[in-house]
Amino acid sequence: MKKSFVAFLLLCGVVSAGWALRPGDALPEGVATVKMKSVDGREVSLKELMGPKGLLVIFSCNHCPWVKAWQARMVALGNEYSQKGVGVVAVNANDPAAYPDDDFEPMVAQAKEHGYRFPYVVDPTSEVARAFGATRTPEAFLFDAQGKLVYHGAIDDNAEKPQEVKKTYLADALAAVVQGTAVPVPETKAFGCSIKFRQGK
Amino acid sequence: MGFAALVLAAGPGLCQPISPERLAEVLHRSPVPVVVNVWATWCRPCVEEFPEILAFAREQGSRIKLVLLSADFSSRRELVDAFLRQHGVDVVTFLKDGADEAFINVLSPQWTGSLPATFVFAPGGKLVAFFERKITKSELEQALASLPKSPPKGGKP
Repeated sequence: MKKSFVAFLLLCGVVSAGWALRPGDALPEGVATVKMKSVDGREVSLKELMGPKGLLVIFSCNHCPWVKAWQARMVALGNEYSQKGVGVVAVNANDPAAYPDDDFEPMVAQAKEHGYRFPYVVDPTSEVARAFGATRTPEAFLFDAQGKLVYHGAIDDNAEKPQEVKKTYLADALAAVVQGTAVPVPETKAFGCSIKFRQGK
Repeated sequence: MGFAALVLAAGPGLCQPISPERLAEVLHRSPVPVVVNVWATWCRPCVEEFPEILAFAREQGSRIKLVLLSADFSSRRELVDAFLRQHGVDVVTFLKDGADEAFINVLSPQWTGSLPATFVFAPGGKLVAFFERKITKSELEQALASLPKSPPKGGKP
């Protein structure tokens, strides 16, 4: 009885759910050199994008309302910190077969419309997202200059109402990484759209 | 109607704001298993599984309590109500009112916050099953069947 119950929990994910990179973990080697096509046509890898101060990877997409709600804040932070020595990249791991809005052409349009001054890339097999344990969009992973994860989570604590944000989690983490100080809140959570993983590779 | 008995209170509004604290109370005080489905009108897999969850709840009647928790933005409350009406939901459901993280931690610290998500709690509030993906009616039936039977009813089926 006990055994079958545990098996059942495993089956429905109570035990196995929630795995992801934790603060202190290294940038996953296995996917650091995966070439991903950016909206400007260049092929880039996370390893190449690592800046002198660190690397910010945000799993994102086009169609998700939470991404749309947070987009201006995400772009402002990405543009600012890519000038301050942090490599910044938005990664779309969604299968465009499921969501045509998440295809490459709409990505190009979105990056242009919202003034992304950092790469917005396609995770061609969703393996990068899997290796991070990312589950939703938007979801941020910030690594320090040594390639250690120092922040994982939300952009801030209020997607819907920017004027009511009380905790600027990602901005604080970025400031800390640039200053070389400890990130005040290393892990946060928020609602988001599930990543529509590509199957069968 | 069995379905009406599933809900916490009947009322004119289809979805009412709920705080994470109140949600925690609902989970802890229920004498029957509670199934919580977190959904949003803009979430396609949520919309796809919605009829399965309603069918499950209608069949279970008063044996469970269904809590539909919308993660839509508060500005979309009318759209949420319209969606609920369109699906024939004639009972009170909830719209999250508070920080995402507080809701996530009330439901399960294991949950990353991605939608859809469905949780099965035993009477008393212990989490016994958790799905961070689209689910089916039969999966919910299996999850419910795995629950230990409550003492007053006793015995094995």
